[in-house]
Amino acid sequence: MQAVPPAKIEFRDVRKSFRRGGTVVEALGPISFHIRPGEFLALLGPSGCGKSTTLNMTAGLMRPSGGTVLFDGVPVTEVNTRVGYLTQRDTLLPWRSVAGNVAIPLEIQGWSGKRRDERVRQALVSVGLTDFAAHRPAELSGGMRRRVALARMLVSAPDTLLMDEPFGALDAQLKMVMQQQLLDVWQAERKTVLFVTHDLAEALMLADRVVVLGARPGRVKAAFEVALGRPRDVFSLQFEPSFVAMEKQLWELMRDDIAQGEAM
Amino acid sequence: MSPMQVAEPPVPVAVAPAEQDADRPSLRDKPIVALACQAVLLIAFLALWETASGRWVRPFYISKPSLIADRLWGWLVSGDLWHHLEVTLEETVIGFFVGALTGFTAGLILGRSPFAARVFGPFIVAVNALPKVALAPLFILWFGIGLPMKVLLAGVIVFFLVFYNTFTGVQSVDDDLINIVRTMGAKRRQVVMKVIIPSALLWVFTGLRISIPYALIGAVVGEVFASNAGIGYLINSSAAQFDTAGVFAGLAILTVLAACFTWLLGWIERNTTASRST
Repeated sequence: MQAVPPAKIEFRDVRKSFRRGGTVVEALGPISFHIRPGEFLALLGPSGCGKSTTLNMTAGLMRPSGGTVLFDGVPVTEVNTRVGYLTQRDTLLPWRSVAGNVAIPLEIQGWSGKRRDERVRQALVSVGLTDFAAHRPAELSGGMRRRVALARMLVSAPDTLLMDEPFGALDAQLKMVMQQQLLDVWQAERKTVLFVTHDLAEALMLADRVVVLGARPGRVKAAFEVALGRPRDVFSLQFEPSFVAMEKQLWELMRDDIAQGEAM
Repeated sequence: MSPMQVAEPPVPVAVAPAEQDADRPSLRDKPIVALACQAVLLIAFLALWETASGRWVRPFYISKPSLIADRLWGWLVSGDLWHHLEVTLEETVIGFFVGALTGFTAGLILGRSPFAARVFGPFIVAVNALPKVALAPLFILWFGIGLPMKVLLAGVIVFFLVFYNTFTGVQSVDDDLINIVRTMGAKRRQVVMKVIIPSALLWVFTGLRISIPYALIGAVVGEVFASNAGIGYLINSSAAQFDTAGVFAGLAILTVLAACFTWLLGWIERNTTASRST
């Protein structure tokens, strides 16, 4: 009998509640789903359904209130240093230059001068920011800062990427440019990606599979295989009938919960 | 913990150049003009002082600039000036470093440990509320009237200023920055060195800058209380001999000394902030 390949990330009855004032608020779950190695999975849901919490638990920055998060079959009990994490908020160090920011993961891993500089340079080339290596984050536009954060995440070559609405604050055109850039990187390296978003089109555009969470406390409402080929081109894909049809289908799935999310 | 004695958030203040008409550059915008005005003002003040003394006001109260200059010159040629200046400087500098180092360390530790902050908080607030110069008699009992007593007095004052600023700076470090660096595999020490300290540095510098004049206060107050050397001693012993000129001469030295300190830290701060790229 052939063994089923182990999941890269698995959520088993994971639940999270927060204490707010004197009351306990159920934020998430219980949820159960898994992500295969090399899979690009989008976690889609309305605001406040616990998507970010899911990522934080995968990164080991939060403990589940119940259930287990498994990474490569092992429960996550401390900070998970094998993931690259791109948060929703800007987390560049403002006192460091662009190159200095990208170098942090390498510094922490003890890379030495020349080798590190070369690796940083490559990472900046891959996001098209070579000319801005010496700039401070405050001197860059929002989109450029996102690209620096992307380069910083990729520079240490983590095998799994956690992304929390990374392009949510960007305008529509820039968002597409960044999505394409991410897809190109993913196409080349086939990392496991857990991508959180509330943008339905974005989820379809990028992912192999979309897991839909309902309104708080978030529960898995549906899992949706995205039957689109690879490599993808986000600019042309958005007008393709198959994509539009899929979008509509997914809207139907989410409609009730979006209304609920608004009411909260 | 109460935010007492915490300086304003360190916002770099840029002084905007006064608006000027491009066609007719105003005379007032030239730095040399302001400098000349300052010189004239100073000379006029000294001249008025010189005239008033003995004519309208008894010299016993205000002495006169020529007498003060005479006294300063006397101290300068006798070597007294350097001796006393050196003593005060030594007390101030050692006191400053002792206070700054302990204050910074304590601020760093308590800022990162909410539990320790809760436990020690009330005690620190209570001790800080005490006017530190009132500790001078106690320190004299412990250490006599030599250097350690002044160092301790200056150090205690500096400690609290640096402590509160470091504490606030460390507490205001963005948790998201810390978390993201932890997922990169940073050990506790790396988080402190790469995120917490650089992030709190502006606050720490504010604490250091405001505490420099206080270090001088600690040292001089200690000298005035009990000593046989230092600028504070010069002032005190002059006053004891009803030598008003000597008192003013001592104050003049202190003023120059304090101004030098302030300028020095401004210089260090400018150079450090500029090269904080690493």
